Amino acid sequence: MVGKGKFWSVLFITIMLILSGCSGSAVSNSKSNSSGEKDTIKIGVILSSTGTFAPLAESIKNGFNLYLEENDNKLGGKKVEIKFEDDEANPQVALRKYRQLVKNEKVDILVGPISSAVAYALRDEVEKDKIILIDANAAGNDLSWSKKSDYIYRLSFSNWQNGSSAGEYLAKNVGKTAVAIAPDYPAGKEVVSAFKEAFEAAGGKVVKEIYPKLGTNDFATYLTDVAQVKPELVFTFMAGSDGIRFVQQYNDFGLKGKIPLSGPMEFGDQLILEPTGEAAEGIISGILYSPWLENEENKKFVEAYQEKYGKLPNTFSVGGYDSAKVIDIAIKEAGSTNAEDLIKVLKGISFDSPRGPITIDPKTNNPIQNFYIAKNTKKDNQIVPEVLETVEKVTMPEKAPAN
Amino acid sequence: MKKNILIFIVFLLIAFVLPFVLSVYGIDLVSEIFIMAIFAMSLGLIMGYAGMVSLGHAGFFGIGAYTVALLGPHIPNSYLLLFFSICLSGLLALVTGAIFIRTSKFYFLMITLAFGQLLFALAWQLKQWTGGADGMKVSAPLNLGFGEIVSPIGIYSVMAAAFIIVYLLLRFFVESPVGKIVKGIMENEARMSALGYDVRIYKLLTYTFSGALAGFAGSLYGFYNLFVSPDVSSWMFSGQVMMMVIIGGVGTLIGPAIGAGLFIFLQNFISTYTERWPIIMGALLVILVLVGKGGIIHWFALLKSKIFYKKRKNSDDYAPQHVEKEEVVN
Amino acid sequence: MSLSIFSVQLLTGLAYGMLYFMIAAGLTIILGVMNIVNLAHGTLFLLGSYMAFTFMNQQFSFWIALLLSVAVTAVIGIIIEKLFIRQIYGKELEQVLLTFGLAFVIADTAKWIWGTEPQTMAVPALLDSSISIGPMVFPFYRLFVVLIGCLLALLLWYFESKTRIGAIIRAGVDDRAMVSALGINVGVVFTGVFAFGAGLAALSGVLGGPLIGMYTGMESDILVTSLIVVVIGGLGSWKGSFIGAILIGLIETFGKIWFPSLSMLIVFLLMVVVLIIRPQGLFGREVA
Repeated sequence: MVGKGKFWSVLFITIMLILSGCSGSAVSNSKSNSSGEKDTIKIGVILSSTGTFAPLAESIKNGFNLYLEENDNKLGGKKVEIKFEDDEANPQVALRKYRQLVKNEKVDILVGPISSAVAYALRDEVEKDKIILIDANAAGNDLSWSKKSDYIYRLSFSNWQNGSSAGEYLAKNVGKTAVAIAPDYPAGKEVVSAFKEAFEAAGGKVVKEIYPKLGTNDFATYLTDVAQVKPELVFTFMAGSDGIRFVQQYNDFGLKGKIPLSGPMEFGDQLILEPTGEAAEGIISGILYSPWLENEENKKFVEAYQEKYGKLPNTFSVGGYDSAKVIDIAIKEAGSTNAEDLIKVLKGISFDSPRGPITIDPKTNNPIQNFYIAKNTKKDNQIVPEVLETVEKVTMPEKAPAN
Repeated sequence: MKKNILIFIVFLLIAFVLPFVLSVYGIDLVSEIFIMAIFAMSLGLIMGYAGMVSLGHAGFFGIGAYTVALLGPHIPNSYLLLFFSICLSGLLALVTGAIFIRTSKFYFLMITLAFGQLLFALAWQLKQWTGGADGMKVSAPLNLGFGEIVSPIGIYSVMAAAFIIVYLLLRFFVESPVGKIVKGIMENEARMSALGYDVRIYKLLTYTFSGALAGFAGSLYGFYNLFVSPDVSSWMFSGQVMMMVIIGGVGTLIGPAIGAGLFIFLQNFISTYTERWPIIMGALLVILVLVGKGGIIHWFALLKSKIFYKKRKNSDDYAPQHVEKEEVVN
Repeated sequence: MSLSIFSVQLLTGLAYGMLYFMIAAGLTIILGVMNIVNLAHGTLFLLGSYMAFTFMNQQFSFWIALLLSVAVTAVIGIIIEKLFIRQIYGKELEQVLLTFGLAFVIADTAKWIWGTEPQTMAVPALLDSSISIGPMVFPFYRLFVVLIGCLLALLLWYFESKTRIGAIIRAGVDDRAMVSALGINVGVVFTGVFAFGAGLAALSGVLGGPLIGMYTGMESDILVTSLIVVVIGGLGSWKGSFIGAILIGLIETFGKIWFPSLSMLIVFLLMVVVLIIRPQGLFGREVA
C-alpha cells in the first residue's frame, strides 16, 4: 500500500543510507579479524566527533592514524585493532561508550577524550577497571592535581600551561596592563587564572576580566568595553568558531593595530589562522606547535600529514600523533601491555615530538614541554606564527597554586 | 485486561532471564535502558494522556540527578535521597506547571524548553557547587540497606524493579477515575470543562506526577553513572526523550519504554560502526515516519491483528488507532 | 554609557535581530500556513552559508553566490516538501520526528561535504569598510544587514497586504479549509511557502556567514533562537517575527552590559516573560 510519493522518498533515503554505509566501512582502521592472536593490541579511542568539538576529534584521529600507518599498523611490535567511538562531548554518552569499549570490546588501552568533563567522568572508572587512558586533549587542570590518577597520562597540554606560557613575555615586552577575555566555562577560567598569575608575577596587571558565554556570536559589547578601558594589551582565550569570530571582530571594530591582541595556543593554531587570514596578523600567542617549527621530527610529520590528508597539521593532530607514539614507546620499553607495567614506564617517559622534546612529568602526569612565543606574520600570502622566543620546559606545578 | 496481565508476566520472565543470557556490558546497557524507559514513560504520560508535549522534561531528570549528587555527601541514606529527588522535582513541576499549562501546544513546548534551559544554565553556572560544565561525581553508590550496590547484576535488579514499580504505578493512574478524566480532557477539553471538571487541576496533577517520575529516573541515573554534568538537563536530551516517546508510540504506557530501548540500542550500535551515524539515525527516523503507523507499539498490534484475525475481512478495526488528533497547532 | 557606545550596541543588536528575523520569517510562515514545526530549518541556514562559501571559492562574487545558494536551497526546500513533508500533513508528532530526522541527515551531510573545520566568509569588497561613531568604528557590513532586513520586512508587508498570493497565504493562516474551498490548489501553495521559507533561511545563512561563520553544531543554536523569535512574535505573524527578532537582538546585546551573568539565559527569560503576559505571543491570535 505504499503510495508513489512514499516510494520515492523511501528510495531516496535508502540511497543515502547505502552511501553513508560505504563511507562508514572505512572507519575501522584494522581489517584483520585476528583478535585471537596474542600479538595484537586493542585500542579504544573516545572522541567527540559530533558537535563543536568535531574538528579537534578529526585532527586527533588523523594524527593517530598517521602514526599507525607509518608503523605498519603496529604499536610496540603488536598489531593494532582500533575502535573509534563518539561521545558527543557528553559525559553520560562517554560512560556508556566506555563500558562498551572496556567490558564488551575488552580494549587494552584507551585514548582519551576531548572534553575535560568526559575525562573527569571516566577518571574513577579507569581507576576501578585498571585501564590506561592516554589523554590526547582534555586540558582540565585537576587531572594533574586533585583528580590525578596513575592510570591517566596527558599527552596534550593543561589549561595552566596554555594560560601561563606567554604571561611573562607579554608583561616584559608588550605591556603592563591587560584585559583578559575567555568563555564562561571551566577551561576559560583556568586559562585566565594561569595567565593572570604569570603576567602579574612578571610585573603586569590584569585590569579587567570578561567572561562571555560559550558560543557568543557577537563581541561588539566587549570590544567597546576594551576600547574604553584602554589596556596595553588584550589576552583572549577563545577556541573554534568563537575564536574565529573574535579575531575577525577585533579587526572589524578597529582594535587591531591599536591594542595588541594576544592569547594562548589557539590564536596561533591552523584551525583559526586559516579561516581568519589577515585579520589574525600581528597576534602574539603562546603556542606549543606550528607546522613551521624547525626540527627533524616535524619536517617528516608535516610532509607525511600533508600527503595523506592534503592539509597542514594543527596542534591537535600532533596530540593524536604523539598519543600513538607514546603507546608505541611505552609498550616497547615495558615489554608488555599490562597496565601496571605500562605505568612504570609512562611516568617520566620522554621522546621527540614534532613539537619538540617532551617528558611526562611523574608528579603531574602532564608533559613538560616547550612553548613558543609566536607572532602571526604574513609570509608568501599565508599567515604564519613566527617564533620570537622559546619558553623552555614549561612544567605544571605539583599542586594547585593557592590564591 | 487479562491480556495486559499476560504481557506483564511475559515481561517479568524476560527481565528475569536476560541477565543469564547477556554479557556484563549487555546487563549494564539494559539497566540504563530501564532508567531511560522510566524517563520516557513519564514524558509519555503527559504527551499521550494529557496532550502536553514538553521539550524541557530533562530539567526534572536533571533535578533528580543533581539532588543525589549534591545532597549525597550530607545524607548517607539512599532512600532519603530518592525521596528528596522525587519531592523536589514533583514540587518544581507543580509550581512551574501552574504557570505553564496556561499556554497551549507549541507555546507549551517552547516555555518548557526555556524551563529546561534555565536548569541547564543553573547547573552550568553554579560552579562552586555543581562543578559547572566539568560535572561532579556522586559521592556514594546506591545502598538500599543491604550494602552498596555496585555489581552490574545488583544494579540491574534495582533498575528492573524500579521500572516495574513505575509501570504499575502508571497503569494504576491511567486506569483510575482521575486518569480517565485526564484522557477525556485531552480528547475534548471543552466538553470536560462543560461537565464541570476543573481542567487545569487535572492537567497540573498529571504534570506533577510526570515531573516527579522524571526526577526519580534522574536520581537512579545519578546512582547508575555516579557522575552528573549539565548535559542531563540539556534540551537536546529532552528532544531525544521526546523521540523515544514518539518512536515507541504515543498514547500507550509501554510504547515509550520500547522506544527508549530501541533508540538507545540503535544509536549505540550504529555509532560504533560508523562515524556517519547521524545520517543513518536521521534516515531511520524518516523511514519510521513514512512507513510507521504511530509508533513501534502499534506495529505489534498490527502484526497481531494480521496473525490472529486474518480471516476477518475488516482487519482495519485492529489497525493502530491514531492517538494524535488532526488538531492543528494553534 | 556614552552616545557613541550606545549607538554601536544598538546597531549591533539590530544587525543580529535582522538575521534572526530573516530565518524566523520563513519558520513562522511555514508554521502559520502549513502548521509544521520545521526542525530542519536551522540546517537550511547552514546549507545556505556553506553553499555560498563554496561558490565564493569558485571565484563567484558574493552577490552571485548569494543568489545561487538562495535558489538552490529553495529547490532543496521544494524537494523536501514534495518527498517528505507532504506525507504527514496534520500529524504533529510525526512532523517533529520527520523534520528532526531530516535535520540529522542534512547537518551530517554538510559535515561530510564541507568538513569539520570551522569556516568563515569574507565580507564582500564593496561593503568592506567601516564608519566611525565617536571614538568607535562600526563595520559597514552590519549596517547593510540592517538595511536588507528592513527592506525584506517592507517587501513582506507589501506582499502580504497588497498581492493576491499574499491574500491567499493570509487566508491560509486563518482558515485552511476555506482556501481549498475557494478552489485554490493548496498543494502548490504549500510547496511555494516551504520553498520560500527555505530560501529565506539560506538568505540569512549567507548574510550571516561573514558575521557568525560556519561550524559543526551551529544549526541547533540557530534553530532554538529562531523558534524563540517565532514564539515571542506569535505564530504565523511576519510582523511579530520582525518585532520579536529585534527584541531578541537588542536584549542579547544590551543584556551583556546590564546583566552579564544572565547572558546564557536572557533570551529564554524574555520568552517566558512574554508568554506569561501574552500566552499567544505578541502578535499571535488568541488561542481558542
